[in-house]
Amino acid sequence: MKTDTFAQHITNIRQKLTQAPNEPEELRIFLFGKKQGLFSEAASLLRELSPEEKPAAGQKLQELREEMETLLTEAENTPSKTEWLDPTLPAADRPVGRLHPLSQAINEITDIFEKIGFTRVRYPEVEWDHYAFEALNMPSNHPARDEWETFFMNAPEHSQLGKMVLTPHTSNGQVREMERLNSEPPIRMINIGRTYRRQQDVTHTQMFHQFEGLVVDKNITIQHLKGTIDHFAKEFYGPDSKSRIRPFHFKFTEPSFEIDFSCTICKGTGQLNGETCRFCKSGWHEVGGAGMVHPNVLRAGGIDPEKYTGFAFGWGVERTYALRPGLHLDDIRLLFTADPRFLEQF
Amino acid sequence: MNILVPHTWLKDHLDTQADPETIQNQLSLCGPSVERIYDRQGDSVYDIEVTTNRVDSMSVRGIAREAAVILDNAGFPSELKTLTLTDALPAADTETLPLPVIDNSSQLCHRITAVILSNVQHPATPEWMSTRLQQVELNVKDVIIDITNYLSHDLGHPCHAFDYEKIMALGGEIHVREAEAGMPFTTLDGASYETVGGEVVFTNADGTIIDIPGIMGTANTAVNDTTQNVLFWIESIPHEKIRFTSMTHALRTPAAQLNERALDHNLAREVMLRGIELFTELTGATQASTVYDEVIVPSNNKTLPFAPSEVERYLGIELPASEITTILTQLGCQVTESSAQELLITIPSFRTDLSMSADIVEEVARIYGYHNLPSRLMDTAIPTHKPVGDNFTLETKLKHVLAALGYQELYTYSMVGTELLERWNLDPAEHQQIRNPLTSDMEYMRQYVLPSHAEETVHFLEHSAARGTFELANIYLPQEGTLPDEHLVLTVLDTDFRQLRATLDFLANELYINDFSVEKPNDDTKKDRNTGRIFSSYGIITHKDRVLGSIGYLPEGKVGFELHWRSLLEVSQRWPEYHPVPKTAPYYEDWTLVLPNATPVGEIITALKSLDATVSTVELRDQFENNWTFRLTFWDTNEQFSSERAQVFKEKAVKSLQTLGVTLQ
Repeated sequence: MKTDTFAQHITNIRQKLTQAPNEPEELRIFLFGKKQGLFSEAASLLRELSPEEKPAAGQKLQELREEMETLLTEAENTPSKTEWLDPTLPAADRPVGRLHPLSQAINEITDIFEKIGFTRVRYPEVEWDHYAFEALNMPSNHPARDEWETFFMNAPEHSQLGKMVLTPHTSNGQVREMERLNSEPPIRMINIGRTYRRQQDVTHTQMFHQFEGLVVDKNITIQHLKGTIDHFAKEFYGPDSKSRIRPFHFKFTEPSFEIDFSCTICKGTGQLNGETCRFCKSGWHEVGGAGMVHPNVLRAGGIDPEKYTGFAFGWGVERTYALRPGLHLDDIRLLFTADPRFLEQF
Repeated sequence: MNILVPHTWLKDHLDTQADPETIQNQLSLCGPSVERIYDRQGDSVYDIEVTTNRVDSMSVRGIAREAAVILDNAGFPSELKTLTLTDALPAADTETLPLPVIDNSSQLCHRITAVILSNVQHPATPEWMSTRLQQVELNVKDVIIDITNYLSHDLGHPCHAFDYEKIMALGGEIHVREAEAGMPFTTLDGASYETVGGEVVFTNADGTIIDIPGIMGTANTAVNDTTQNVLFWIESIPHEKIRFTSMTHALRTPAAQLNERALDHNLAREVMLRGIELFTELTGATQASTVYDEVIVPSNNKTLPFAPSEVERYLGIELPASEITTILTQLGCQVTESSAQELLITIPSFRTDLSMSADIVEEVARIYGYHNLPSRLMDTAIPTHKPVGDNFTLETKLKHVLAALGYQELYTYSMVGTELLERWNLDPAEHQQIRNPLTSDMEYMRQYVLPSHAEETVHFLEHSAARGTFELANIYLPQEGTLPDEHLVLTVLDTDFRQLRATLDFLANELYINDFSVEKPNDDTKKDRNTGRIFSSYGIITHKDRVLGSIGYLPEGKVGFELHWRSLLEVSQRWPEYHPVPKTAPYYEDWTLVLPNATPVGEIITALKSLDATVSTVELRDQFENNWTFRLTFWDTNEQFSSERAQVFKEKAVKSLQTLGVTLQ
């Protein structure tokens, strides 16, 4: 017998597979029955081949066998239409893991800003006074620089960069980012990281997280700051969300703003069921600060404030996240514990 | 800082028809934020947040001054009423009682204004005043105290009433000096303190403290219901000194919170004259001395050149110079045109916050209204110069992988305490210490994540649906003369070693890291400070010769690993390496070996793998007592592997493992 005749034989057998029954036992006999099974039929012609032809034919036969075994396994694993199945059975026990709510928030924040061309960066948490304060136009007698508000390290002072501190804000990334880019705009930075302040109660923890945006280029105006904040509010809180900027005061921005987002709980009305909404201030939530980068900060980063302008904003991740409807966290300290009653809700 | 302002009180200073809701909305958009309006005793009371640089707005009159400009520009005609004050009596008519001897120090006090008011009566505080004080949450006390509190809230500069007789009984001298450590004083509320040194205090000639100026009076000179003569007093102490004293002794009085800012002492004149009026009117007092007024450091108006084109540079819209001039004039500035491109602006002394062009832009912009500006995204070039050393996408991916494998992510504090370190046999002295920790359990920056992570999870797994926990967080390794080496560590905690090991393999697979292994520590790796010390028994995770982290046993039946993220990034691949699918089939064989007790199984697997290049994997399938069953997969990509060849390798294996006492079952 010729090899191609054997191949034709296998093809014929394979066509018969279309007539295969669905019931597993019937299928097993149809395929692998000793006398009339298709495989026996296929294998029967192997004897007629010469020794040289056998390896190639054997390979084809093996492929056919694997195909048939797959068919049988599938049939065995397919519940019969007549078999009773309880669809109300509970799920099998399987370990369930989750991302921490802060990671969930940080991932979303990253995506929202990366979409509009921001570069995510990470800068030191243990930081020099220079980057945390001095370069940010904060005078040495500024309250944030005293030991009631900021953690200081038990370490020698640097001759140029000053004391070693735990950064109280992600704004330390501003001048670092300008330096990383050799003081050459364009800059669109989003710096997300751990920050530290000497405070601890139900709404404050010694360690918390912030995200800091910085944009520096020619012709950057307050309009771009408003546009960026509106983009974030609509992406993070939904298309109906509104934002506004109000005058405020920070040493490293001028003009400075407080950013408010409309309250997602009372829908910005300040009223809930006929009473004053207790989640917001007259329909608005204060989210954090922003402003046009102070000329002294640009200078500290080697950028000419006569040529370039920029804006910056820095908000708490925890607070921004907790302003979503249904996510009002009554005790922020729970974020840094391993309490399954808390963590398994996210 | 917040201030409460009743609507009726505001209208003492502000001429407007605007209703409370309008005032709230307009002020919040363009000036101090009116956070809430309370209904108190038939009046609307504004709860207003004033930024720390705008201490000039921390009074009813200060808010009225802002409101007049903001409302007027928003289309609600409004005007600040003129403050009409009666001049103090001249010296010839008043000198009936001598002022104390005042010994000032130019470094410690910039201005002192004082007067003696005699024959003070003690009627009840009139209802109009007590109502207002209650509305703004100030306690109603003696009429003398109430007058000083009212004045401060109304006009924005703290003032003080001494009992004149007590001052005179203590020697009749007031010395301004810097305290040494250990000087006792008792505040007027009866609490006793000792100075730490550096506070500005008033003493008598003997060095007894008779006042903590700018913050709180002391009991030995305080007025009471028998006080007949009052020394009405206003001083200006450098604000950083006020903050130091106030924070050191936790004396956070309303006066301290005003005086610790750059408060304009020109307000002293208004407060003094209005004070004399109120004392005369409400207590029947008469002015018994001339008004003493010593100005050492004057508070003057400043001038600043300003280019109107700056407004366009920041706002993106053009405003005519005339509009800019109008806004600034309304805010109290004097504006003259010094050239076609430049204005010269004279800034009133109370606006200590205005010192450069950007400040002027802010004034113009906020009164124009930020809400009137368009909102748009940047149309400039997108930066493409990315930082090296971080891969946030991969961090997120691995977190999702671990969560899908059943691990709960945790965030634990970066700081640890001595007790925790000692429980884990770690030396606090090797850690970066915080000089001023808030709590003793957060005094050092951690060098391992697992200890605090494991302690936090003591009860977690019993009550959780997760199989373990994980965390990606920084550790902080002190370095000489520079910042600590701060880098990420991936920590995973489990209760089953082989499951944990499977997780490790899975992660390596996700990162396309081949050739990694877990080895018993040797003398060199034991010295590595980054490995092992926190485990009771552990292995080193390596890639070729590089240490990636460690894995081992922890107390209370837990197991865990720590991987150094930057090392992982360096050995990971962004994509796998493709090999054409072989034409041949793999060949499996299960071998059961008898291993002596305490044989490291990993070494046996390594030995089996190194039998031949055709051994593609060696898996542990089963174990019973000393019998260990391994599945070997042989895959020769050139020709089909046969059982005969496997037999050859089996014999070779038996021979080579003989030295370890391993036999074939």
